[in-house]
Amino acid sequence: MMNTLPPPADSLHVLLIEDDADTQANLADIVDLDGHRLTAYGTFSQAIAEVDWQTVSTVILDWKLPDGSASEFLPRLHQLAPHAPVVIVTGFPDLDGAIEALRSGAYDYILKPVNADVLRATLARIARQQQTEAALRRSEQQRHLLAEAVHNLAEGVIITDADLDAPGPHILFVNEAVTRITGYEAEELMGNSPRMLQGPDTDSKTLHRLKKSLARGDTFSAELINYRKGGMPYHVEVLISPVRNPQGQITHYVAAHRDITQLKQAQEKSMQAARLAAIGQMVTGLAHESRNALQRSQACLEMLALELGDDRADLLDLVDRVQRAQNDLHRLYEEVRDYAAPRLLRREVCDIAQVWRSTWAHLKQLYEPKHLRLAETLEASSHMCYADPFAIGQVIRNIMENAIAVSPEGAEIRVTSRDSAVERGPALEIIIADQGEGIPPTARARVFEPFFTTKTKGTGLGMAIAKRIVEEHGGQIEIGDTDGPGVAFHVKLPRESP
Amino acid sequence: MSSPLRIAVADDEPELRRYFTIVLPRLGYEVVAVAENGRELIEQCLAVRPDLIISDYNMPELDGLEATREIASTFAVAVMLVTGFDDRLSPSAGDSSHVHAHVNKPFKMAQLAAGIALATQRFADQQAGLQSNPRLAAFPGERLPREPRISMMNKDPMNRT
Repeated sequence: MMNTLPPPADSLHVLLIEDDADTQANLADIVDLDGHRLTAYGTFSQAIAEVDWQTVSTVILDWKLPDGSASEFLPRLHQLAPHAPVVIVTGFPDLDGAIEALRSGAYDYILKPVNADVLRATLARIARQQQTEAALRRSEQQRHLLAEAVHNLAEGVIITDADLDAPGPHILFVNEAVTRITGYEAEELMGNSPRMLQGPDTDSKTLHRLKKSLARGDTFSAELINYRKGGMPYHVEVLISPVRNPQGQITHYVAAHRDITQLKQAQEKSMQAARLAAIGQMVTGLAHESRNALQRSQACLEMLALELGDDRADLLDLVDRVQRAQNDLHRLYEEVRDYAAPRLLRREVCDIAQVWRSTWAHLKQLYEPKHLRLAETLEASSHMCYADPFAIGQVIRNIMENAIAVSPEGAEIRVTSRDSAVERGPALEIIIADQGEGIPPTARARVFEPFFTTKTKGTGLGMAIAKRIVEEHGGQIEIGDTDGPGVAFHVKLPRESP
Repeated sequence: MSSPLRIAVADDEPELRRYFTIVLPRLGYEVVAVAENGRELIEQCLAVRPDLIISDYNMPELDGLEATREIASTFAVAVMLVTGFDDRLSPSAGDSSHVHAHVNKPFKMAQLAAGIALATQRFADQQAGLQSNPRLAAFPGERLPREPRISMMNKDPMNRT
């Protein structure tokens, strides 16, 4: 409960200002009959001096007092006790004055001699009225408090009507957080259905469950993917409860929305990291053992080839095939290890342009038969980075190998450098673009996933390894467009001095 | 070359010992000792004084690094280590300044030949007065730079499918 005022009382604190002792005593008796509290004074100035005006709920004021008339005191009384109605007590001859007093804000007047029942009725009416006013004030305060609280809640609050049929319930209220989470202004949401926030990845089974649950009048909670204005998806935890009228019918639904996108991402990241660490350990052990086994097999293959000699070409062909299968297996092991095993970066200040040039030179056997050329556009202010040149060479080699594989005969592979920035600060951006047939947009998002490949050969780990190495440097790797159909890989490496 | 290079080999795998005895003579070398572990390697080397030791790193009794270090402390000899360890993570397992070449497993005959050439060349440089590679003398115990590590993954991209 949020009571900020004292509970309503039937009894009033009556301030009586009356100079006639008999009338004062008479009024005191009457007031006392209904349990009201009375404080009495003979003059206005005395009352002014002594009364605690906060506590006064009603004033009974004699029309004529020794220190002045009620019409003079009324404005002052309204100032001192704005919520206390003033009842004027007056003799018949002053009736005109009393009527004037009513005009200037008195609540009521009572003629002398005072009729007990009339006064009691007046006081009872005042008590009732004050109770109602107090209750109104309290509910107004509570409404304000609730509105403020809901408005400032970190969670989004959406209130809809209960119309579950298409196009769905209408939004009647959203708080500030909803506009923050969804990117829509309140006006854009009002009258629409919350379904406007749903999209292709919003799980339809969950929505079905939601609808059934709401129709039954149950509270529903679930995690959903919703969409911001502009189409950006976000993860939201939704709790929806029916709101019933006094007759028990559902009139509204109130939904709390919590944006858990960041939480989800953090969870996924830490799960991914834990998974990788576990795989890494396993793979390190596996790689070591596999190398020994592969070495034994390799030694035996070579001895077998020597034994067979050149006159057994048919058998040598078989040996060669086993050798190639073993090469594949070896490469697969090494790439899995490369991707999954923990890596120790040996960073030094190095010239990245030199790294890509020597990487390109090493790939001669691949690009020469296709007559490919490397075209450089150097726009960066410098090509020095604090990086592991060996690891970055591997990144560039993986990108270049792909580029060479997809390039048509005689094409160019373009390397562009420029200044850029990543979260950590200034960065060197290397763009390696090919003139191949490109990668469809749906496949692009998956290029950096392990075991994704568009080639018929290869493990599909090359780009996943590249991404891992770049990210371990605090950099970024992305795939983008070229002016032709090919793709461009953008590698951003933080410059970072040691 | 007047007389063939005399090589001692050590590996706990019988396939590899047999391989060395068949392949090394074909490459023009003489195998003068074949050991199964570090202890045997020391014993045999002290007896036959080879020009080059090719040893597996990981062996029972005494590992290849320690055994060759002990041998190198008694007479000058070229040393090549063969290892299945991950070179990105290999623990700094103590002083390896006496090692002239590392070859990663699995290797082929070509890498073996390249490793032998590298080890003998670096050993000769060292014997010529250490001037050719002062870093090695100045900082004993420092990791060898990456170049002498011979691996079939890094050197010949055409071998990759």
